[in-house]
Amino acid sequence: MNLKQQLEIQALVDGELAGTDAARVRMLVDQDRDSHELFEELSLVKGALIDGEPALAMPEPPDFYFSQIRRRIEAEERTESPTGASGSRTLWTWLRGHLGTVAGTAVVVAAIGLFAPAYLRPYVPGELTDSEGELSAMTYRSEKDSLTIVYLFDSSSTVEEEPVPEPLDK
Amino acid sequence: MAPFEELVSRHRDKIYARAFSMVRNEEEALDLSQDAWVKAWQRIIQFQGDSSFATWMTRIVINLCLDHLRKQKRMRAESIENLEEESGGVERQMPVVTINPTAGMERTELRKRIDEAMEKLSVEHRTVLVMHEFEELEYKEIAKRMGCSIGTIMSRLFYARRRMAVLMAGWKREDS
Repeated sequence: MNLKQQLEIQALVDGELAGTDAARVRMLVDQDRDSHELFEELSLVKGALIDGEPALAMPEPPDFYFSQIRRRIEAEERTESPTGASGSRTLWTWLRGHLGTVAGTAVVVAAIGLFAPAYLRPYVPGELTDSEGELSAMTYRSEKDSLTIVYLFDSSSTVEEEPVPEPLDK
Repeated sequence: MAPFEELVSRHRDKIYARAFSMVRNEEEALDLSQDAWVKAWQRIIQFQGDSSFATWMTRIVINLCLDHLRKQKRMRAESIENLEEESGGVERQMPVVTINPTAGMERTELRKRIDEAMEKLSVEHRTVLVMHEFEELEYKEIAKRMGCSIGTIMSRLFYARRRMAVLMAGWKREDS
């Protein structure tokens, strides 16, 4: 019996063989004494492990254990975005910062839902001309919200932007 | 968070036991099991009920344990040819155990003996045994999670079982 045959016998024990392979190995097990003994041993060990899976009790008191979990969860949530975990609230912060009190600019906001059906999508010009090179663009993309916003503005106008507020947790 | 606490209460022992069976260190197992619960909290919305909650949770803790073992370099993603105990076909030379050493053994005793025997296995062999026998994962799934070939998984499982058989056979000799 070579290693390949031994592994096939194991695969038979584990139900990992099918069809003609299973039938072939089953025949080997039925006809060959060594193969049969190996099959029995592997089955015996498998059964013992299933019956004898160690059952370990946690060494810490339940309340203490959960309090540690809760503490970790709260710590994780505190390290997320200061305006909240949701992408849309972060988006709102971005929008407020960049669309604030900018005046005298041509603003085109094209929101393209990445997965929205065509008839729901707002009209987006197929082509934008920028003959004088004065258009600038900023893109915001949120995979989580399946959203892309392209903010176009006339970079020739001098406007003081309202500063973006600092994150609250700094 | 009360419902989540209820879930933790119901499954904490099993999740801890799974972590301990893989890393064999109480402190690490506690840490990893807590990490698993934190991840579960963060991903609870992804739980679609395709499997039981216990199965979903144990998958999380197993993945964390595998990452942990890899980082500690305690687990080598090597092929069968490189593993010392398998290169010489040692497992093929072990005498086959034909008498059931667990016959008549009480379950508590059996669990204790199994636990002691598993302590003697290498990390790789113990891991594949835990994932296959206790978690009922298929060869293909174990290979994917451990980052090695199906052939390597089969060989490790074979060696681990044969080693367990020899250890279990020793129980009868000790008892007599």
